[in-house]
Formats: sequence, structure tokens, C-alpha cells
Amino acid sequence: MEEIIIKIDKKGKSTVTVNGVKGGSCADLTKRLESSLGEIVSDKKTSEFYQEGESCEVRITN
Amino acid sequence: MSHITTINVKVKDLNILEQAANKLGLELVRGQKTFKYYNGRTGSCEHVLRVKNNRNAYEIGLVKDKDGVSYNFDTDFFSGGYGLVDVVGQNCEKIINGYAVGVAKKSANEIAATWGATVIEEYNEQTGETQITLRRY
Repeated sequence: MEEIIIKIDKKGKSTVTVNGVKGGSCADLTKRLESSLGEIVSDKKTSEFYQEGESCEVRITN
Repeated sequence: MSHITTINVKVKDLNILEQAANKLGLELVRGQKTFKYYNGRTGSCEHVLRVKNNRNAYEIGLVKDKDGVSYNFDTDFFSGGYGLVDVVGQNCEKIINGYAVGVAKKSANEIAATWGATVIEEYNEQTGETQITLRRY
């Protein structure tokens, strides 16, 4: 299963988490979201990133 | 003391901002080049957000960001902006949240259409957090 989870807090800050996306798609997907949601303030690879699928978390401010 | 506060919002999509504004009881006046604040003073802007049915409320000016594309908010929160803060929240949180959710929904639906995913939206009333999940099997 592949998932993109976008969380928007009460103040409008967004966090994007991508789980289980294989290949280089993870960065592509978050890049598309970044261009519309706002500026990236942090970007970290989770432990699953180096395993079979990719997982990453991106914090975006707008 | 009254002063103009600039809030870094980086609004790019005026249609989504307008939808979020309408839900809160604001209207977007496109092309209005001044916004009203303390004691009848006005500031320069490109567009204005104003509270519907409250002519005393201060207004929010949409001012071009230095990137030349997006807009930030200029406004005055003195004395609650005479009704403005009640509508937009502290530091414009409500309107910023509404805009961010609108943009996220639009982006999620566009990605889902090309990526072949389903979109699930959830709202947590306790935290005020919105979660949009794109899922593909």
C-alpha cells in the first residue's frame, strides 16, 4: 500500500508524509505538493527510506 | 499602539482564498488598492479581504511578496481590528488554515487523478487538524 498523508494544523501549517512509495517517486510527489502548499521548512527521510519502499516526511509552511 | 502587521502567508491561488474567506464571512475585493486600518488610515495593497456586514472592522491588504507571485497579509490587530480578529482568528489563523486546507484538497485531487489513488479527508474537532490521505494499493 502507498500513502501520502497531508496534515494541516489549526494554524495552517502543513506536514506531508509519504509511505511505501518505491523508486524516486517520493521526492517527485512531495515536490508537486510543495509548489502549491508553500515553502519547505524541513525534510527528513524516515527509517523506512532505505528499505524496500520509501518513506519521507516534509514540513511545509505557507 | 496601532501598527500594521505583515503575515507571511504566500497566497498563490486567489480563487481558493476567496472560497475560504466566504466560509468565514469575509469577502475578497479584487483590485482594491488600499485597505483600511487604525483611525481611518489606509495602506497600499493589490486586493482586500474585508468582513461582510461590518464596516467598522479593519481590513486585510493582500501585498505582493518579494517573489513577485504570491501575496502576504498586511493588517492591524489593534483592539481586535474592531471585529476582524473574531472572524479571521488570532494572527489570521482561521483564514490561513482555510486557505491551506483548500490548497491541499485541490493538490490531493490533482495528484490522485494521475496517480490513481483514493482521497480520504478527516477533521479532528479537538485539535482543529485536517488530514487528507491519498491511498493506492
